[in-house]
Amino acid sequence: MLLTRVQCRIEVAAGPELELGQPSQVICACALESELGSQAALLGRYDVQERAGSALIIGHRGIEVFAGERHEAVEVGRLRPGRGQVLVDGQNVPDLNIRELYQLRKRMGMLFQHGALLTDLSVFENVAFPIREHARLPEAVLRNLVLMKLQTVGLRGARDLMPWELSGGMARRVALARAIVLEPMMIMYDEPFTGLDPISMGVIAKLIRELNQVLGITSIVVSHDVAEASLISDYAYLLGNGRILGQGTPTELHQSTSPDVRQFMDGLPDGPVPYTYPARNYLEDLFGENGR
Amino acid sequence: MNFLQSIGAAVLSTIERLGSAALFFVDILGNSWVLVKRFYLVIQQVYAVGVFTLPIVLVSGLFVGMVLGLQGYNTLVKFGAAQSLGLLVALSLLRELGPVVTALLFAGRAGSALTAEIGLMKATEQLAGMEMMAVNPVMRVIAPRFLAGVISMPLLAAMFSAIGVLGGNLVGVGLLGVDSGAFWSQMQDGVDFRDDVMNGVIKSVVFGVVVTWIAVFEGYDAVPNSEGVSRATNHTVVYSSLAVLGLDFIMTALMLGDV
Repeated sequence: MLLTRVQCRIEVAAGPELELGQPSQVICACALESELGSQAALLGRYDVQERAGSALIIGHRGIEVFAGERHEAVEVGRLRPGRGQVLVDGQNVPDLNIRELYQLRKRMGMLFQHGALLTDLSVFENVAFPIREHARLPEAVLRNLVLMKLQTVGLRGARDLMPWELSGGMARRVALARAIVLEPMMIMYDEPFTGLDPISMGVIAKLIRELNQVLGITSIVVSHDVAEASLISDYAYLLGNGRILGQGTPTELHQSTSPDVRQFMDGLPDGPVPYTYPARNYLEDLFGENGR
Repeated sequence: MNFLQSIGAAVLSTIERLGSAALFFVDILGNSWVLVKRFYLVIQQVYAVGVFTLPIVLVSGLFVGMVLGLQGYNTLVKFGAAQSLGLLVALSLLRELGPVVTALLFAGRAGSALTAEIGLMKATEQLAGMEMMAVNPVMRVIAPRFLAGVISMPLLAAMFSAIGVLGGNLVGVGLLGVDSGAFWSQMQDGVDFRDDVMNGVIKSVVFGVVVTWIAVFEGYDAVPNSEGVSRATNHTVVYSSLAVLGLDFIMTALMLGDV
């Protein structure tokens, strides 16, 4: 997997010299180790320190399937790391109690892979949902706020549609409008490009980039789409086998000579991540005692 | 040895699941008080859970009452006690058939729907999405549905019994020629409010809690894919039917004991 940034410095922390409480510091995950049953090794260790800006993670499906999602899940406190800290805006997420965690989450947005829109509510009500849950606003103010966010993603005209009437790209844009409706300090994107046609993909990429610059928020993108991700990211981490395989700006990664990075950037079927699933010797398997 | 191990594993996982169901129940209760301020969420669910179950409950109640009228008359008339038909119909419905049959129908109609809905919300990441918006899904999704089930069940059982009595009257008085005055006055005389009506209400409240609890837990705990949701729906109907019948026996024994 790969992790990238825009406008910001992402450094590999040399040790626990973390500048806690610094306003610009949004996320800092250091020496993270998680026990997730069969996926225990996936998270492994990240020595990553991030500051305001946007980061992008590109992962690859296969052996480390879900690795990216697990990573986010740990960051937002849905799963606990076995060891290490997950610092978001100076707060260690695993140490927070449920009330503090919810307070923190109000300042974070997340875009799920398939949007996760509430199927019994219209587009307008879906975007209005976080406001209705967390704030008490006059209906007229709420309406304008929602329409402004829908305008940002270009779907003001679709406000009365129900989620099942939307295409995949539209659903993701509605979900994006919902993610930014409370003006978060950061947004996490889970596979934003997966399963979209080229036009929708371009729209989503443009939105991620624009939101990042206009709203000045941190974006963390987990993606497997190297080409699209390279276009919009500033800094990338390639994560695999539970560790950072490579990192740098997209240009640096494209020029890297490390076999791990090369296999990923060029999409090679065989390499450090093997093509075949571990198995016993092929001939033995075919002509051994059971094969006769 | 493997056999013993598998028994042990099955027992342990059952106990573990029971424990998490109990914790989930406490979690629901803890989140229910928030709904006092937002009672419209519960009203919406009472509509979805209760009103849509009403037709099947009314139709079943009518037929059960009519069958009771026929069967009861056939037995009572041998002893020359056909006048007591009204009492027999009313007591059978209020004490047993109303709460129990309503709970079984509720498990099949509303319980399975609740499980499937919650399970699919989980599978489509709607619950996770809510959690990420700092909205507790137990408060926003589970607790309103649970309360709606607990509120709907006694109301549905009452309507089942009422229309069942009318069905019994239709057959007994209209078809078999039992005296209408005797039918109603025997009923009025023999049915005690506290012992008969309230016992039925208590039963249906308990069934409401148990059936809805099983339904929402199975949905919330479902493996988030199509097979998992189908299995959870199946479990809801089987477990809640068994729980209703078992609890009915226990409660009847307790209630008859102190009458």
